Amino acid sequence: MEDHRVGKGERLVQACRQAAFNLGAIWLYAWRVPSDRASLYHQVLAGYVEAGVAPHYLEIAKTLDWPADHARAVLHEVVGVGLPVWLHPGTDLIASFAPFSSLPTLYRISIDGAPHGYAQCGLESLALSWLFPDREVRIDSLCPDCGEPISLVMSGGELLSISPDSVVTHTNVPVSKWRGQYPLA
Amino acid sequence: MNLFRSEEHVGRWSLLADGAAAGIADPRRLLAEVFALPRYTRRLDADYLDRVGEHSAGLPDALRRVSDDPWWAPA
Repeated sequence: MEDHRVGKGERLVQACRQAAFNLGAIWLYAWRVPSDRASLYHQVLAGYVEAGVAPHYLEIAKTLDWPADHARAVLHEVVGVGLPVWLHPGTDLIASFAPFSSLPTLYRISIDGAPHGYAQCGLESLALSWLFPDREVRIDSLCPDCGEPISLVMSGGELLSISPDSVVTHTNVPVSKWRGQYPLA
Repeated sequence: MNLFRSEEHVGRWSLLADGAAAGIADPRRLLAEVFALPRYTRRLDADYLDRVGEHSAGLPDALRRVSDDPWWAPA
């Protein structure tokens, strides 16, 4: 039942307040809900974390309840953002999303002792432990110069061991030129 | 980007690019300065890609702390 004690002016104020609240809620929703690009990026990394390999865009489409063509288009948009992520040339197949690689590299990952695919490169191997909280991340590699073994063990962003102790990282391309040639850096 | 057993091994590497001796860094320093940034620690966040610019804000300074050589200067 309408309250006749409320005048027209007050009803107008209440309506304006409600409209402002609705606009705020819409803005907050848009601000908090990840974009499609972010959702796809998250699905790729979560797939690597779960299985050690990247999902196909059709699997991402099913998971996110998207049309396949939309997932494919968003995948190419994400690759175009400029992060160290790339597809196999001329395909829609994910070759690498930092810090992971779908193709074999020198950097074999083990999680709590179980093989878990490959790191993208020596530098990105240092970023892996954040993706596996409370677990032991081991990287086994070979020195590109002599072929002798190198290993790192990390957990929660901390280096637990490194062998040999003299290990160094190296980038063969200046940092300013990484974008566009990440696989060669 | 590779790991080598020591600086000497980088110097001997047959594929070392011209001037790239400056590309050597200590992995402990990289872990502490660069790979501790939100750009790397927040990658599993559902909205990571929407906020990667914000998460990367400290990267140029972090790279400078690893090395002041122009080889490590961001674009």
